[in-house]
Amino acid sequence: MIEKFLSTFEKRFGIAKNNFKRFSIFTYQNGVWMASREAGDFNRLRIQRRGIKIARVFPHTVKPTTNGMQLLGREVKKNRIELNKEEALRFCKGEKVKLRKRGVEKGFVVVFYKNFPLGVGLYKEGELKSQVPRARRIRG
Amino acid sequence: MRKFLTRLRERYEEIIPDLNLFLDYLLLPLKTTFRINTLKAEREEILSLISDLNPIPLGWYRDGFITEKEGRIGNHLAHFLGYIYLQEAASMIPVIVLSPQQDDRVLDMAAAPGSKTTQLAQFMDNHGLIVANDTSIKRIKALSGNIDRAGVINTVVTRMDGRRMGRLLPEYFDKILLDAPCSAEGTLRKSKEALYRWSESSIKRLSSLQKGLISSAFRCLKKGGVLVYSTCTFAPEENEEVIDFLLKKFEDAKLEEIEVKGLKTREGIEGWRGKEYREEVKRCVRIYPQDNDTEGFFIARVRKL
Repeated sequence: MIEKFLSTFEKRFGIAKNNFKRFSIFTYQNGVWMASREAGDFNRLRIQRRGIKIARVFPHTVKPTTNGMQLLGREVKKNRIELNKEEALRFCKGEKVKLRKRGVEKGFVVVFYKNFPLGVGLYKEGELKSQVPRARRIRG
Repeated sequence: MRKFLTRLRERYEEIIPDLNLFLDYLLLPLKTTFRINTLKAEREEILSLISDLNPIPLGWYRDGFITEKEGRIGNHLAHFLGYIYLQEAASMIPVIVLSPQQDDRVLDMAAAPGSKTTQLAQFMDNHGLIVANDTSIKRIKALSGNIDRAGVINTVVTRMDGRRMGRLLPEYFDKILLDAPCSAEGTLRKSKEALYRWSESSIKRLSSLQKGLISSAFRCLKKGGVLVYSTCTFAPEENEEVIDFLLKKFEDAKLEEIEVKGLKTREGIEGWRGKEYREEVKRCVRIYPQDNDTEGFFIARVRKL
């Protein structure tokens, strides 16, 4: 599962595998999680959670999380979409944004405002569907 | 509220200086303050993104700011990105006093909802280890959400009674924060909630819980390590009395001076209702609302010899 995650992140987003070497990467249920080495090694108590979930692995795809891409987004070289301020706000509210981008493959993309990684979108047929979880969205 | 202020006046007239000013400040609304979170972006980038908030530096903490902008800061793009964290100014102080280093092992014994956990992580630049503990599932959910938003990866979350930790992890941590559950008298400017739970008997019950927690926390500390104990209340039973209890119980506990440049603080009190504390207890600090226009806080810094 970790290998599938690493190769997808490398192939689809251009994040080299060795970017993750200094962290502890592990799986829990279908999630891939990232923690500092020390937090990854700690096993003295029963743990509720450790680090941050950065992706979910499904049979046919690997889906990065909003929290993960806000943290790793600066390393993304491919399948990036840049939004203007008005579009960015709509994206953060969980709305769809109509746009066409050259050089972006359909599927999961990382969405930016200026150089700030906002999260993950699903890009298909001229439409970007925000994947920001309900609890994380900007309201109003 | 008025009735409650009268009770506070009666209770504290002998120990709180400028009592009228103190009570006046308890009625004033708090300024909106926030901390910038440099775990996900550079300081300058964040400041450029929040220029519309006209951030005014707190003056005594580089990452703390005041904004006078109306409206919901929680809906600002910088908040969505986790670059700013709404946090009351005085609640930023305990972590500054603890100042953990990058590779420390840190325990945050009563961590939820996580403003101080995420601040600890920022001091440590996401390295080392934080064990963030709390007892309630609901509060841990809030902690978890804040860890996600702030991008904290050096933290494990546990759910247990902090009083058990001393036996399970003796001499394990370099730094410990015990921001103890308390009667929250200092938070009245933010919310009136504390008012409804406040009673002499709850102060007594909390004091006993705090003594249990601080003993356990001290056992978790390595030799040479530092424990910061804080509350957001004025009640001496939950503050100096708890520290006095610790110093009496553990010969290797030594209280250290606290100084945050630019911040006005007052000494710990030496006695209360017939009880006399060790003179050392003066090294604790009390932060009154009128001193820095914040909530009220109490902070002590203890080293294990």
